[in-house]
Amino acid sequence: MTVTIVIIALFVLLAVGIPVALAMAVSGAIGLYLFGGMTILAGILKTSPLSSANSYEIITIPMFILMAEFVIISGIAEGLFRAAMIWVGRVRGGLAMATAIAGAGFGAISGSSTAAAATLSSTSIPAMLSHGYEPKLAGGVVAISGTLAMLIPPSIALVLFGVIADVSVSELLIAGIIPGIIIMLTIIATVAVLVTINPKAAPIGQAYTMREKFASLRGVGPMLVLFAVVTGLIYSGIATPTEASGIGAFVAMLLAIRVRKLSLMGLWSCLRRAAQTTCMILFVILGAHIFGYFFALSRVTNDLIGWVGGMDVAPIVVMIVLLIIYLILGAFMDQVAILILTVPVVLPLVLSLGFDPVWFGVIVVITAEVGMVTPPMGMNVFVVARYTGRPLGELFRGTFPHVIAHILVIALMTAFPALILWLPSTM
Amino acid sequence: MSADLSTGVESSILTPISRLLSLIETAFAVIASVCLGAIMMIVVVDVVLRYGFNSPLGWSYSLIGIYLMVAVFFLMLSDTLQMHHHVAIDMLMHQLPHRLRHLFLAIGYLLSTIIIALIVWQAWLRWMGAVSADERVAAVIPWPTWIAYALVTTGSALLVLRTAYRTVGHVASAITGRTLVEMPPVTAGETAAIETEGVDAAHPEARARTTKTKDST
Repeated sequence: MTVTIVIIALFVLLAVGIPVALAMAVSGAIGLYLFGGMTILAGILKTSPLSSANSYEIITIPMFILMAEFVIISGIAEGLFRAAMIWVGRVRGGLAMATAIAGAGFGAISGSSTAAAATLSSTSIPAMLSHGYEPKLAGGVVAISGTLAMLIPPSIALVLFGVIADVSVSELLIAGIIPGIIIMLTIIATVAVLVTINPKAAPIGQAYTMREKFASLRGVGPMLVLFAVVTGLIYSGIATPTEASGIGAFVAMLLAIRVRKLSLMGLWSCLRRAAQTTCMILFVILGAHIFGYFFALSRVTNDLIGWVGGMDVAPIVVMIVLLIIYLILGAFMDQVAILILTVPVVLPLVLSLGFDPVWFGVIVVITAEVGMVTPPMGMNVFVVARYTGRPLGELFRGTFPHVIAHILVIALMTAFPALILWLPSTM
Repeated sequence: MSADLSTGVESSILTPISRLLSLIETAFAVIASVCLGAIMMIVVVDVVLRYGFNSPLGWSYSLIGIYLMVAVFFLMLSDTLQMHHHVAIDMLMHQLPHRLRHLFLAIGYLLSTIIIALIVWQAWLRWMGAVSADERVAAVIPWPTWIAYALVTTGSALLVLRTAYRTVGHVASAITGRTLVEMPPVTAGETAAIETEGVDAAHPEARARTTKTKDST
């Protein structure tokens, strides 16, 4: 009974537009009060606020966010897109393919998917539209390429998963590399199929000389430096992900200063925006703590594991059902909220079925990527819509082929977990 | 910054209160931003000293974990709410009639105010307890713990004032049928939806807000 009241309260509060963190804190607190009175509620409100912030490892999240802010103002993305465009050359749909490559490159220096979509929107969409690309194709490929940032290290989503699930953040970040490359190739292949079916959607690209190709690599330099610093330090084990994130933010700041893009006002707005995003994530974590305590006390998690364990089905069937639920949730909810709300409940179940937590973290983040481009809550599509002024329906239709391709990739990685787990095993 | 957000709001006796809160929020945001920058610098210096000179700072973990991160989170709470940066799902909200929507939001913010007030009260008790017992952390440098509790208390207290203001503002808006409190900006998604589906004729106020959101971005 109490559980029903709490869940209804949560959904009503979410639906009327109360921030997710407050909705979870309030409904969880109502549950705790109904369950154990003022003593339990006061006890939990006493300890959880501070414990959700006071940890050294958690600073990986604000540092990666800050790094993304510096990377955006430094204008590295333009150089990346230009180099990718020149190297792809004379292929039909070449600019769209270059967008996927630039998205992966940008993902390697930024952990924020919406930041990647915003940056790609301002660089590659104008280029594609002026070359006569179909807006649906152009917008779709930008929205989906932006999601690569969630997967390729540094990835804020994977750090968050690691913190919540208590799984090695280094292994998770390194595990994202190969799936990231596979998805980049998948996006390119999807574009190739789309332009073969409908050649009018995209023109043939322009050819460039070898000289121009090598000259364009100068624009890739800053990205390689940052990638080497962050992912290199983590993979080699020289620095912890936390240390690497701080150094990454610092180096990104130096790069922004070097190209004279960082004013004092710019620094202040980068710091303030990063602090706001950090606060937003931590507040959702705090809300989820309070909500989670109620869930733990009411033994919902244990009942769920017991119930699923009692069913006579193969673990893979349970996993497929879980992934479908994640895809549906992703279409409606914010990805941070999904991770924080579901992982503490679902991970024990997944482990009891014998799945690897690192594999699961990467797979969940890929389902979250799909959620970023599916209606009604497709954040990346909103970002692209804001930058281009194109109608939402058109953009969602543009991402649809990529959603299908992503689902095939998820199936592939479920069938062959080594695609995810091999690289971290070499660390 | 805060001026952009107040554009859709009719002025009333609540306006100066919101302005005053925004002023304090900005001051807190400055402190939080400085702390965030300090975290970055401390991590870099610490790593350089550890690997370059084999003599790490030693106090960086506790300073960041106990004070700086706590400052970034709690001092930023109210500013982030006011700037509508706390994620919210406002899909259904725009379907509701004006007064009903404000009524629901008033209830939501009233409950939030109560819960956060409880957090403030508990943090205040711990603050006073830590001061009188002279509590210290078990680290190389025995930092006093009361500063962390003081940050939780002040940051959350400002949030209580902000949510209380929102509660009153939504009640007033529900009663008068006007918009007397800041509403979240219409997201790009909804903007596009409004434009393509041509429902703006039916919701002139939604359209007005949309245009304003565009101006401010």
